[in-house]
Amino acid sequence: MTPTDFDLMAYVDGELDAKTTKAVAEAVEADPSLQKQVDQLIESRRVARVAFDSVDDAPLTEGLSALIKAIEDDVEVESAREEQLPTFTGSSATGGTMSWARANWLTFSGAAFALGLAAGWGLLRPPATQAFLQLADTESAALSREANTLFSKIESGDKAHGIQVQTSFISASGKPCRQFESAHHSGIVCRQNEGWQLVVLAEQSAADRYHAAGLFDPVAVATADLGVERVLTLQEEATMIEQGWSPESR
Amino acid sequence: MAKRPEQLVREGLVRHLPKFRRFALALTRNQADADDLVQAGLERALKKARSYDPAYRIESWVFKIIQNYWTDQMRKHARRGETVDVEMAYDLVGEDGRTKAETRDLTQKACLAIEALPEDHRAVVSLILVNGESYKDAAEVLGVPVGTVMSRLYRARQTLIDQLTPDEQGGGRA
Repeated sequence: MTPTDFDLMAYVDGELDAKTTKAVAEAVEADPSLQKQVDQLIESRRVARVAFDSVDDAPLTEGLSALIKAIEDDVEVESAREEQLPTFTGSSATGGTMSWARANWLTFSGAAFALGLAAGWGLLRPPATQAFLQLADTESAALSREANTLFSKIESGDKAHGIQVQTSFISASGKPCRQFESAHHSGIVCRQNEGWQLVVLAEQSAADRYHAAGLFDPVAVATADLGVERVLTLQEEATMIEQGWSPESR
Repeated sequence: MAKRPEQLVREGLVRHLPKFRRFALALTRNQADADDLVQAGLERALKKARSYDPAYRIESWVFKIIQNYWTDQMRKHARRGETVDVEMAYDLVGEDGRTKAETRDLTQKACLAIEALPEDHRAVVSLILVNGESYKDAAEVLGVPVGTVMSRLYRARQTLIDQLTPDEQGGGRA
């Protein structure tokens, strides 16, 4: 394909579906002028973020500070009333946010890794297009050894255990991440503490190319939340696979 | 037990405060005005908290409230289209009258480049590039089609690139 300017921008911003992302990545890899455009688009995002960096350090005005303090006090009181729950949230069957009392059940067994076979899946599976689970904190949702091995070894475009990795990218925080699909689901895993951790898993939607966003494509939303520092070329990905996705290989 | 909408709103307001401040700054171009705008937006959000639908991302919901409040204010004061003297705002004119362009670091250049963008371009830059909103969410916040968001974002990026990236013809303008 010959990507348009908008395709390239949407590619850099993680707004394309997996199939189009892969097609654009291949076109970019084959054409230095497209690569230059991609680099510039990424640079423009860096520039924009630099411009707003100082906001976070700026002291709040008196009025805003007092308002935030009052809200924080209310939140504290409400939290004290609740049972202590861990830190991550997910999109619920109704599209809302739910707290999950325990994360350990998420640790994928080999069988569950086939995506869709876990005993709990049928019970927990939300209506189409809603995220099964989107983690705000990935600290405690490690995948099984089998899953880790697969995501470490499989090349984009190849298929194993019903899983096909569509693309690999470096997130805004510098972590390698991989977008994948199975027959009915799609998701993202990111590198964390020398293993892969699930960031999002959702039922696939038959959406259009620019379908990202909001409630309609949790994977695209998760990609946007993660931020795409850059999409790995197939060559870069091969190097990462060979070197075990170590930080030195980035 | 599911949290009440008011509870979700309060938690979201605190958690995402930095995002709201960045977005407000993109609109106002002044930190004090930005915080005033955020304060007004948060107060409105608290008043409407009971009607908050958890199906929507809290950030997008509050962004839209802030955007609507800002638009109301601009209409009220008929200030839309008002321009700011960029050089005065950033103290870019030296005592000897020469610009301090040579001494600006990337942050200053970036601020200037953003500052010089039209308001609707600054809004998409802030929402998408800085705060990580999706095109669709940004479109909903701003009340425009996704295509318009993409068009504004692309043109804004081209301007930033022109301003800040030295090119083969001898460098950017900043």
